[in-house]
Amino acid sequence: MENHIKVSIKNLSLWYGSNQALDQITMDMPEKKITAIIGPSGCGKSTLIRCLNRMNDLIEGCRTTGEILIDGQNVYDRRVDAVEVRRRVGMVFQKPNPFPKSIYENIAYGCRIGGINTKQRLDKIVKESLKEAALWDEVKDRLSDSAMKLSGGQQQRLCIARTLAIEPEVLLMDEPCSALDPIATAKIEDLLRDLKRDYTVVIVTHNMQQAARVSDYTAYLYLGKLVEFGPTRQVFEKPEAELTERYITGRFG
Amino acid sequence: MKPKDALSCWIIFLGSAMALIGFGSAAGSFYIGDALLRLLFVLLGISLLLLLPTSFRLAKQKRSFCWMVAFAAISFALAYLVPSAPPKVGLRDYSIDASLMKFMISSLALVITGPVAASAGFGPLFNFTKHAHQASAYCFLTIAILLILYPLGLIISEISVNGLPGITWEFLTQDVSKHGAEGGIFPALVGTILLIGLTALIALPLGIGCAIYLQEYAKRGRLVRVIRTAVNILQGTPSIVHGLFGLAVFVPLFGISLLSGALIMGFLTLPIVIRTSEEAIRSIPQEIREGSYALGATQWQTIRKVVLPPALPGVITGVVLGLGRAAGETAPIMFTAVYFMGARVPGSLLDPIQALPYHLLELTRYWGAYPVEQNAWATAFLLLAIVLGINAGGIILRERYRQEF
Repeated sequence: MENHIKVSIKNLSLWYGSNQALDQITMDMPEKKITAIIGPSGCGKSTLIRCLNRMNDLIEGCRTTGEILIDGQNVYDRRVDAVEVRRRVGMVFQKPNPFPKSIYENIAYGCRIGGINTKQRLDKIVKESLKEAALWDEVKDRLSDSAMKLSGGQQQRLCIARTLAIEPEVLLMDEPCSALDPIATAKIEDLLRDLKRDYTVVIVTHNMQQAARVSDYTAYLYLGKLVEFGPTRQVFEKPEAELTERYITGRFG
Repeated sequence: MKPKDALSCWIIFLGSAMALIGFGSAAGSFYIGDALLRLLFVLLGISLLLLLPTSFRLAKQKRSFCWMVAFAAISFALAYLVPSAPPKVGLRDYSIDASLMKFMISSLALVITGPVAASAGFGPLFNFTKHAHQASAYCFLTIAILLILYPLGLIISEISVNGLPGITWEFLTQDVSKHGAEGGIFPALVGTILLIGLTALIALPLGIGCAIYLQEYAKRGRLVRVIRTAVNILQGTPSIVHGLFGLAVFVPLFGISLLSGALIMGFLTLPIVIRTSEEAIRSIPQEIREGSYALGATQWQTIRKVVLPPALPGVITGVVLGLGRAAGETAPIMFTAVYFMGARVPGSLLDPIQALPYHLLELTRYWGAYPVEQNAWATAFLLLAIVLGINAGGIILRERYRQEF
């Protein structure tokens, strides 16, 4: 079954100053599927997904060539505003980073800066986003409490809810479970399976079991190059490249 | 309990008691008397001497032993020195009488010697093990705290005791007369408050704006380095230089006036506001900014709604420090804004004012020639109260805006 291609990366290269971090990456990510990016530390996984919503623009001395097409539109086009790209491509970070505000305000923030200000609509969005992120039942009685009082796993789900509130088309997750315990991790993984009904998800992970459990497609990156990309089952059971096999079987990396 | 342990405990007790007495006499401005003071120091010296042989035997490092000899010597020296301090210290027309002199020297001596001696007792008590070091370290850190509190307590108690009786309704609401010997300080009080207010109005937007620019917008490079250096130099500039600059630049434009004074005070306050605000903004984690950008916020939205609110307590602290300093400064305004007598409550920005610190300066100048002592102490008390009030207000504001991270 051929899926619609949501994100298409073409010949993407990236330099931090004179240091090349990504080298001629080309891959297509299908719509409403989970694509996992794996690889050893420093191979450029985070850099790659930070390109998809142009977060690398914030780093001084960072330069890119190549194209990233989302629904056929190049996000690195001169006429495209990075702020607009980030509203279409949401991102959840490695370390939970809620704002030092109330739980409610954390979620409402993205809507407020997008111009939604009526209490009624905000209330509805907050409730729906928290439900979608499977956090509603835990926090519904204390929406005005500080988000910093939540546990690490709750904070991370809050960050997911915050991202869902602005209704992005693509959801980027940069090692979302690396700071969490196994129970919180399991909750996030369950959540991911629900989320792929509505969103195209790209997840960076250090945990190969996690990639195998949740993703539909897997990309293996090594030293800034794309070594292998394909359906997860194929990558894990019959990898084409020897490097991939050695990494997956734990003999390396 | 072994004799040496009993002796060590006695020394620790004596040392702590001496520190407490010293601190108490500093806060209450009293002198405990020649005989008692001498007795305390001699007792301490003898006890330390008695402990010397044991310490010498136990101490693995002879350094600790040398310390004890030194403390014993210091104790005997102080027992001789303090009670025989000179009766009068003359400073032209002002003189401080013997008891005032003695209470300051004796309480300082007690506050320092007490804990040091106590820590000398911990060595033999714990057989010079690591616990002895732990206990002595605790003692030395206590001294550090006491030494910081000592001058503060001294200043506040001295000024309150002398100044409070002079604070009356007439003093607060009347104009100056007879070179400050009679009448009150109403115009100076109003002048100081207006000056601080206007200074805040000038320094706040500029200072916070500059801090935001330096931390969030400016690219790291030569320009930022130059600006930072300039801010540092501005902070290091003596306040009298600010005053002369104001005289040369603002007085020709605005005359000797509230506005000239506030502009100069603004310059004086600016570097403090900039540096503390920068510090506060820098302390906001980068991840939080990234979280905001990732939701499609622009840079200004991020600064305004995500960075500034949690940075606000720190910014307020800086503002309060700056304004507290401005409230007490004399040099920058003496050529640019104030008259001693004759200036009323200003009707406009271009009128001259009176101000408390300058008023106090003039009063001390007339000290001896006119009976101004009571009013001078009362003015000092009021000035101190305003500065402490600004600080207290700042702390309250900061706590109100403090959010958890």
